[in-house]
Amino acid sequence: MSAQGSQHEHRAPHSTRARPAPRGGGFIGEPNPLLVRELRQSLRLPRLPWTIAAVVVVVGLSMLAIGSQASQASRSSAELGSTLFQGFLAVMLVYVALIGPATAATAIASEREGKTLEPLLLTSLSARDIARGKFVAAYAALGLQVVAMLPLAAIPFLFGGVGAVELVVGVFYVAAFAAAAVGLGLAVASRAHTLRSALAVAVVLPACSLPLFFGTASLLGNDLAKRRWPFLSGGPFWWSAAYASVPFGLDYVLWLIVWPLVAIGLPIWFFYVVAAANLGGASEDHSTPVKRWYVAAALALSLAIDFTCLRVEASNAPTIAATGMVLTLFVAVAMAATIAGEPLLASRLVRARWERTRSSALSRGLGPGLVRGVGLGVVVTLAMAAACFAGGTVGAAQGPLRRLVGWTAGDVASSGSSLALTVLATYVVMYSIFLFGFAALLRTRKRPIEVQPARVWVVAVALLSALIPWLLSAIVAGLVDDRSKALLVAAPSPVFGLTAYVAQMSFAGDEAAQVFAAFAASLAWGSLGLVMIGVSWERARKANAKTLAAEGSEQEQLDEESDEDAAEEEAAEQEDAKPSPPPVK
Amino acid sequence: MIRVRHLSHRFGDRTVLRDVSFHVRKGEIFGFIGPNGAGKTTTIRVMATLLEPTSGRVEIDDIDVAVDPQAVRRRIGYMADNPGVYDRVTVAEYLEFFAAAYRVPLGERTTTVNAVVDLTDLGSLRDRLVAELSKGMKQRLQLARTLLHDPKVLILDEPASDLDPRARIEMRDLLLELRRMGKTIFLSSHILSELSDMCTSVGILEKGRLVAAGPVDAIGRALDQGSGDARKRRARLRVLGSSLAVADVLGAKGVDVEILGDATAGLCGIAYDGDDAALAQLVKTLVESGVPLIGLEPERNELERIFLEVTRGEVQ
Repeated sequence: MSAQGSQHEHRAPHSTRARPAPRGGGFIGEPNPLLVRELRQSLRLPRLPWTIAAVVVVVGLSMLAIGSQASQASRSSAELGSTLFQGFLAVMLVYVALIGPATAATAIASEREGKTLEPLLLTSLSARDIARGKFVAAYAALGLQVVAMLPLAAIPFLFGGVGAVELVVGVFYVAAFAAAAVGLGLAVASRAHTLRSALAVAVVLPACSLPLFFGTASLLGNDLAKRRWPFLSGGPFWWSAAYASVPFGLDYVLWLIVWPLVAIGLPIWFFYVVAAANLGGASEDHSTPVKRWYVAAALALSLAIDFTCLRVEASNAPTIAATGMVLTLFVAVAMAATIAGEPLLASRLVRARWERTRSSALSRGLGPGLVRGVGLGVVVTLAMAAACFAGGTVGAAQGPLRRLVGWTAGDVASSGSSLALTVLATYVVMYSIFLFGFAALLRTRKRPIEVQPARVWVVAVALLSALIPWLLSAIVAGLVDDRSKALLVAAPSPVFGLTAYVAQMSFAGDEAAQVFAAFAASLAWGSLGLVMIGVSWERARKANAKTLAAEGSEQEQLDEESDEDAAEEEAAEQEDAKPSPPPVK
Repeated sequence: MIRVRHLSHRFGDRTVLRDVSFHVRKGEIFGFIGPNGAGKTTTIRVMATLLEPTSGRVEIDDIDVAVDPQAVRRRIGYMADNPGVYDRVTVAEYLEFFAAAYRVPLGERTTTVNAVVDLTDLGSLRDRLVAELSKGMKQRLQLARTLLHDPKVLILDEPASDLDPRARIEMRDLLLELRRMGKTIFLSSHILSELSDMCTSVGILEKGRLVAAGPVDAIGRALDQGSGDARKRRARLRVLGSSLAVADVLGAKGVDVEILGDATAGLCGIAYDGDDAALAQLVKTLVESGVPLIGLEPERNELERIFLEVTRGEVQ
């Protein structure tokens, strides 16, 4: 552009008013533009081929090292191949667990730091479109590296001892795990303000979680799987062999389809929902997707637990149900921490959208609002605990339902386990009510706490209330003669309910005293929780009424001014439209 | 087109905007001025739907930004102060990406991108990587991005900051062209001289309060009336020969004439009462009197004068 004006004719941009987003989001017929751009940028990195080559070399050398060690102990090439395959899976899983979150975290945090996120948010792309595009792009970038390493998987295959199905399943699980890792990185980075903090959390969190994963899914899972299917071969990554060896049936469906879907699918969905919520504006509806996830997760977990209770031996059904109760408690803690960040009232934007779209009562019930959140939390916890209890009770008894599922009645569980299950269920529900009440009270304080500290408080209180009674019990045990009575001091701890179940109500001596202590403690928690819920409810009601009244009077004032301005403008336009008087000669 | 009523905003305990109200009509270029920390960027971010106001209402094209931000976003093009770009894509790819993100239909995307590239004179840089562009070109690219979805309103936060003089002039010309195309432009800046060249109205913000708003002339007149002392306007004249001739002719008309430098240089400054019509009359008088007038430069620092008079130099 020259200072004197354009040298050539400027045409206006073609009048192409961008259309509103289609219902359901997404790009029908064309890929997500974010995905295309991200892939373009990452493929243009000069260091990309060198990075991939370096990774393949390192993984190859690792396998070489594993192979050389294993060859000394292996009795046959098949055994060596199987060991190499386990080593390959181990290396791949560790790689995707550490690199996946870092890749995704970089994708989001670098946009924020580079000041390119806001222009993106102002386009017609929704927060979900952005989260989806970033996820797929990061997954594709990680997938490129995984695919580059796949030829190394042919080595154990060539040694024998590993079939094609095992190979495919193993790689599939690496891909699924990679998706979860990328989702975690995305969720973390969507909250982080800087690239450095995003990377720090995205790397440290999986690094700390890996031992837990390997401990449960791999080592413990391997032990349980071999008890169930003694013919199973393979090391800690037993699932590859299981898919190839276990005959198809209800057990196959339960342990190799349902539980993996739940264990991997639910976290991936959660991370996606959290990332999309965090990318949306402050007044957007962050609650509905998360609450929807909690409802679906509770339903999925309950069904999986009940299915499992009906498939295992009758004597093990209460144990499965108890495990379900523990999961219920974890879900309750997570929900309470979420509620600690709920707004008291849905924003004007959300309320206007509800009016515009004529949302149903159910949709609004899942929406933002503290009272709604607490109500949903109590309902979900109650339903999940009831489902687990029912599953454990039915599973422990003989009956047509067990025969329907194809399992003959085995040992019937003792009545003691029913009592212990009842104690545990009561604890879980009552303690959850306390947590919800506490979270609600934090939100409705006169001087409200920020969201993140409030969530930390909820988790901290859950941990402290679980631990402190046991510490007190240990102190009292040192002061009194009858240690079994001292253990009753730990009754307020929610862990007491689980410990009592495990010991089948016999570890503290007098069963009646234990039952009494357990029920008294859970009643106290529940009562405290109900009181806190009541107080918070009232505070929220008053605060919301005040907010709505202030909005209403502001709206009236602004509407009046708007009418006055419109009248003035109309008068001015009419004045301008009048023909000017002819000049006086 | 843009109506802000009683806008207030707080960050925690700190109030950054206090009861700000102004109106920007369709087709205007509205300049938003204020010292650092006055609240300009906060106001702009509220208008761009990036912040929800604590109280008050902001409407763009009669749509409340807090109630339907998606609809507002389709009508505005926003450029932040020092925005970032994606480095490893070309100019054309960058604009195609945003055209897709704005959901410009696939069949019209190439035409739209070409038209915007044409308008912002980026044609010769289409295939260059964005990382290789100068600061001025990147700003122009950002402006091109905001035009892809043909918004009615452009909201620009310091669009000319850190630009060299040439790039600044080109940016100004581009904005004037966009105004001619019917866009309403809202921009903030520290550079008062440029704002006075192109803005139809201004708003001056200090410590979160709007201390003046409206056409520059009207604000100036209001200040003069308020002070009770109609301030004389100034201009510089250049004539062939001696500037004493100007003093002789205009002095008789009650105009203050100041000879600048040597009288034979022909340069003088005048102070007169009235507006541009009065200045035109003085020019006519000089020409009819035979004074060989070869140059006229009206005072350009009216906005600076207004800014200094209405603000106290306080920051938050």
